[in-house]
Amino acid sequence: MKRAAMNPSRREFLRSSFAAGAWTLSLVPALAATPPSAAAPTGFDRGLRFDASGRLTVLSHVVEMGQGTHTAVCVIAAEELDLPLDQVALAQAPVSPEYASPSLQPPNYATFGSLGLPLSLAEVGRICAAARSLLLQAAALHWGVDADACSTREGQVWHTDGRPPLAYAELLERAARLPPPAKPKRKPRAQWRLLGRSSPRLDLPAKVDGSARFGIDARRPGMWVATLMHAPRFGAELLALDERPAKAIRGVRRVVRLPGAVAVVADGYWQARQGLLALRPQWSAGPHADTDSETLREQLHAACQRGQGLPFSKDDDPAIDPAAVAAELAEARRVLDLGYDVPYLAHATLEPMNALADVGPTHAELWLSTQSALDTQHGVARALGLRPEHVVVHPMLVGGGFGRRLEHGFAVQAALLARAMGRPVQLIWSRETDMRAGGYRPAAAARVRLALGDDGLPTALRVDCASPSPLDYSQLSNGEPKPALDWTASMGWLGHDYALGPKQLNWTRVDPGVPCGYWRSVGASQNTFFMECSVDRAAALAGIDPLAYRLRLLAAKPQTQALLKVLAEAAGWGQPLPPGHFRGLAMSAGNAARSAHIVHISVPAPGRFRIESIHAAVDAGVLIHPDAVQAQMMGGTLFGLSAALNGEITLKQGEVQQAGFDSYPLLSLAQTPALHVLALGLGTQPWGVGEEGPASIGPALANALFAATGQPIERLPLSRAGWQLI
Amino acid sequence: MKPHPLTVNGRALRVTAEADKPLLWVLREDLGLSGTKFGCGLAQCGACTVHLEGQAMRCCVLPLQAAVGKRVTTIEGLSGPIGRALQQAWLAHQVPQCGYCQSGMLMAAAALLAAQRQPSDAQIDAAITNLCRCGTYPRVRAAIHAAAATLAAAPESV
Repeated sequence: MKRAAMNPSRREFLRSSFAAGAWTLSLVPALAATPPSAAAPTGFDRGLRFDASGRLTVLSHVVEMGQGTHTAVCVIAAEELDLPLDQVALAQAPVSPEYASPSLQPPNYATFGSLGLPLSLAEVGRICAAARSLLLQAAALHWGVDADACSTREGQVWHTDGRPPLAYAELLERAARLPPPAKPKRKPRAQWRLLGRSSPRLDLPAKVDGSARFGIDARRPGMWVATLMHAPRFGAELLALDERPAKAIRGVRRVVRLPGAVAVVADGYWQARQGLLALRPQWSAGPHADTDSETLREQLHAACQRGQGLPFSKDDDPAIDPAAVAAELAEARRVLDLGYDVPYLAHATLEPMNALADVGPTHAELWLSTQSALDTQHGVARALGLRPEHVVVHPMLVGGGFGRRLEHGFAVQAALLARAMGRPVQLIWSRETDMRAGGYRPAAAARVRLALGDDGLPTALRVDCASPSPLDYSQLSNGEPKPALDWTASMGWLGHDYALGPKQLNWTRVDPGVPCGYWRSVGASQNTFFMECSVDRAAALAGIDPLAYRLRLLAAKPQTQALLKVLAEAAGWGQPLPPGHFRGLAMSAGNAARSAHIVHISVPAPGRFRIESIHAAVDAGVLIHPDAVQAQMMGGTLFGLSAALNGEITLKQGEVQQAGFDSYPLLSLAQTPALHVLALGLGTQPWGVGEEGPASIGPALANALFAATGQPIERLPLSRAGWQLI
Repeated sequence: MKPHPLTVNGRALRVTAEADKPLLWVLREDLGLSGTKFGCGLAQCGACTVHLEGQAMRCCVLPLQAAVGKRVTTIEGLSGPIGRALQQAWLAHQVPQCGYCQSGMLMAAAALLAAQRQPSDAQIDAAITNLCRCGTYPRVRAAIHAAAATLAAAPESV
């Protein structure tokens, strides 16, 4: 996602130290041009640690949530250092500002925005390159030869004359005494032996025998377990509560009132759950007692029609030019004027939100699956009145993130419960608590106007969109807090590869008080649907094939053209289909990578369709780990398909209507169609792909249904648009 | 509370817990077997799938008393030719992503292969109703077929 953009201009220095047989290396941010010795914090950040045997441990601020980045980090280190992969291990870096990524704005210890891979390549790669250079120099000095005559291989330094090599382990102390290079030389791509290949994921053996430890598997001696219910309407408060029914249940220790919630603490989860179910708390109506999804939908569309939202500017996209757009819309031969909307969506991670906290008078310690450990540390410290450095956070394996675990409200709740109880407490949200707690992908609507020239191609684009802002609610530190203009609303509209003429994009905040947040692919998740369905409408009006139409819009973007052409070739686009069969196409430009889908459907009866196959293609720029790219695109596609088919969080009289997987159905294995994924590297720079897939599958499917019926799809999920998968 | 006899992963145990406490929480809290996961508590997602007398069972809604005197197998006890074939296929196909649902997936797959050595796609569809939010389904299907093929080729040598 944008605004988390890496900042390559920031200056850093390398620092190296040797103690007790171990060599540590770190990148130290340069603060205000002070020399590194003066600016260096204690310890080492984003560090490497060689033990005396030459085994390497990389400390990473990236958490593993299934995307495979922990494996990628080890591969990057092994590659850049010429070490065997089995000599490299990853340790989760301690959670503190020293280990935060300085490339994020502000520097953060967080995993999001498809940035884990590019950040690790830049940061870990650089420091490993420096270590390799120092090892080479140390060997050259020892031998009294020129370093250029030396090379590294398999954890050893070799000389061209064939003398016996020196193992890294023998060189650590000498290397540590050398000054680190200011600009370490990176290994050129032509010499990669591990990067670009699909090394087996290092976290998987523990995930097939039950030994993997997720946040929910954390244990502390003497711990109790809590679960809770939030007020049924956002912002409502507890009026009255008879605690006795819960306390009558064996194993229940206490009923605890938290802001906007009631928790039951017990010996175990089930007792806490029984206690909670026995309670009948009375809540105030609260400020959002009238929130209703249908009303919200009307409000969103009304805001789009008013067209008076905050404008994005030329700084956001050089094509922004409202005056030129107005002129084109006034003069164009034809103008498409379209309206779309999408609902709130839940992340529905399979591991419900949970956290284990142990809180003393001056210190706190937490174990949890989180995507934002540093914000969690600070949030818990604030809530407890402690200093952040006195809150120790242990990030565990994450049982599904998708953006939901960028928030840390549940960790604060666990800490408050642990303090109230005076012993460790693990808070586990029930499924319905998790489903109803907000943090959703915002509901959104857009009015899209495309001015079309005589050739049927766009000459201007005007978009008036409306939604609540995830940035008003999210606890993730990411760019300027709570900006007036929500940049996530522009994802997938601005910086797009399509040549559409001058653009105008206005966004109106319409906020019914439902907490929302980052959801895998963020703003692109709705905007790609709006954009790609509009493009198909324009193509149909022009009488041009949807692929050919897009290729013309991409005339100046050969790399994206190539992506679509490869995909179309694989999917047999243009090949004859049996009667009743149709295809739809859509692409996504929401992040740095590009991706696209072609869906082949059949429509045996009105309102009912079958997905015959899906072809997906993703251009990661450069493939660092082809199988991980494949897996992410596969998973992202199915994540988006689930949302497109059935995903919606709705509200009635302020209350969320969904609770479990019966009311918020997830795609099942039986519903999963044949899926062919093309993992491509068509560029020169690698990009993360964790958010590819969700955005373009929905509109590809919608466009297939449009092709089938001529009736455009203007809202998601498809179940609301009158379509059902069979 | 009285002690309840049950057999977990081949070990005869006595567990002192409420008779109606779901087996999931007995496994996780009383026996320290955390490989079986809590996903919904409503038997909708399958993350808690174990074997009860060899049958796949969602144990988040299964009271302890229903398991008394019976053989319970969890992911920690998955073994034998079928278990090993599945775990190897799972690694060969790099199936898990976050991994949270995978214990349940593997237990459901093991029960399927025990009943049906060469399952068809339709039989896999019917048997594997576990939810995976990461979208590993295509690889789950491929790995089940691969494990079945391994078992067919060398049923005892896995």
